[in-house]
Amino acid sequence: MFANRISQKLHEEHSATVAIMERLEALIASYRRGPPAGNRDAEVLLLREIADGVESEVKRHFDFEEQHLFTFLDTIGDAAIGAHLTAEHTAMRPLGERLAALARTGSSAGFDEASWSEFQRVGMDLAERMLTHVQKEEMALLPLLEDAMDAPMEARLYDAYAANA
Amino acid sequence: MTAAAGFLGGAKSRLLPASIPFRFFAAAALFHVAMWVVLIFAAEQVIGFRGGMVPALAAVHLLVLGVLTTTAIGAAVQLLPVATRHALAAHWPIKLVFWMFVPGIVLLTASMYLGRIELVIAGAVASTAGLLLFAGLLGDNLRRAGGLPIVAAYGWAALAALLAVILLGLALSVDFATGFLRDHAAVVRAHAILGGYGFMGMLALGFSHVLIPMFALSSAPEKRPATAGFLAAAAGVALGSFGAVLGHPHLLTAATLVGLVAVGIHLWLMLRALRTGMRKRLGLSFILVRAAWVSLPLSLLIGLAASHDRAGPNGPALFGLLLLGGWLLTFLLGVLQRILPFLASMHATAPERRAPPRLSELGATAPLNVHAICHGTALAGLAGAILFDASAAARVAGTIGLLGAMAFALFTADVIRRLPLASHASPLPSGG
Repeated sequence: MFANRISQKLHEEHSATVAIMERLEALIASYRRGPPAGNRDAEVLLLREIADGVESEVKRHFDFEEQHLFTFLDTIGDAAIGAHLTAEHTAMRPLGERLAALARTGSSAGFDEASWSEFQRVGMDLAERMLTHVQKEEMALLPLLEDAMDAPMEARLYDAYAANA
Repeated sequence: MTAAAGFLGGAKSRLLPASIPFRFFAAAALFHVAMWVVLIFAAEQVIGFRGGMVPALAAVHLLVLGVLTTTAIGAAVQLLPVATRHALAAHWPIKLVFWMFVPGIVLLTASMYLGRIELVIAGAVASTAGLLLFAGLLGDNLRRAGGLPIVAAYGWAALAALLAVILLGLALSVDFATGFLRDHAAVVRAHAILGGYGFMGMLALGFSHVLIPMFALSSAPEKRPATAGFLAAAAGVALGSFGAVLGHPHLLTAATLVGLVAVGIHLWLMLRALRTGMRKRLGLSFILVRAAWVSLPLSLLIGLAASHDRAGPNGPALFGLLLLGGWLLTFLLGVLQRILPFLASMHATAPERRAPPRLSELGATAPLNVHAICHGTALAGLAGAILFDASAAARVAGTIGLLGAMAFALFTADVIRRLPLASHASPLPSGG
């Protein structure tokens, strides 16, 4: 879809993140009134995928964008988009870390009323923010990188991405 | 650069002050309520409407000019500069459009309802002046939309249709007083085709190429089929308009068939965007959008049947309902309920240690649920009332539609009320 390898990699990660967020929303919607009764294999697996996926997104993906891509955009005079997306990262990081921790605990020990209620609240908040955020990055950030980045810069940043993968 | 890429890349500098687009959306929400009120009072005429200076004409123009066109102006003056990455030169002309067009609609529709022909002409002149100024602004922006060839092509076609529909509208309003037109009904049919499928229809199809992929997170539609779809749509509108003016049923049949090809290509592209998009759960708004997509080809088929007197005595009214209510209004309300909070969020500034607001914090969802149920029920009820020539059923359907319109107005007012929240965002979440 994208000729720029960084845009393409981020696009693939976005696709995985959107799928995880939609499954998270579906899980929360399935158990509106209380936590899942038992630890079914499919739900345990999903919770682990949520924990891994969210952790990867809010740590590796966000960090790479902030440390490499937004600084690159800053150097070419397009700082506003980086500032806007960084503000959204800052709002989502604590939510993602908390959700990953809750999902990991839930996958091994199950949920009680209080932890499920918190999982629902944090999960819905994160899912909504994340889906809108991905929408903005897909529509604005990735095409901008495609337009603005020359081949040597792409190679250098792709190496940085691969080193963190 | 994709069509929607400009939304963030420096987009804030091209955002109009929130008060400018939102005044159009607020006016449209009020006209929506007024349209259902008039429809309730004019139910007997609405179910068999074929034109003429009757109160039902006011309901039709409240819908077409008050709701559809007013919203289209608000959306176009905001979305096009952002999407084309070319800011408008000044804000005052848009404000002037509002102050000419909206009072013009009030005068036009009130005088249509009351049957005051001399005031109809005054209202038509005032709203026409606003529309002409808008056409100038639209043309100026389209001139610079080289990066969006399909959207621009639809935009130019919509603009051409707008100029033709204005001309015919003025002629019809003068004809009410002077009777100079040889075939008033033929011009009414051309006016309806140019307004419904031409101006509003082409804008809806064009903006779909940006908005549907943006919502579904998919690639923009492929250029070749999109170009073929545009050419078929433009040819269909042109054939239909000439066929109506000339009273030529074969031309109308050809227009319908070409129009169906255009619709087929468009829906194929849109469904492909949904199928390949990252987002699968698109929510309530896309139930309305899908319902509108069903109504669009249905409107053409009923229109074809009506043009050959095969759609029953109230066929023209059913055609009008499917075109204006089923396709255009339903599509517009589906899209608008996503655009309003998104636009509000674009006005968000995130001060230090403040989290940007979530979209759900910028508009209540309960009114939208009420609206969707009422809107669907009202349109289905009206279709039944038209088919069975039952004015009492039309009145009941109108009352349900009115409740839905009030719910949508509440949603619009709620987004506007929360606009300050967008610039005073909430504290950062702790996550714990």
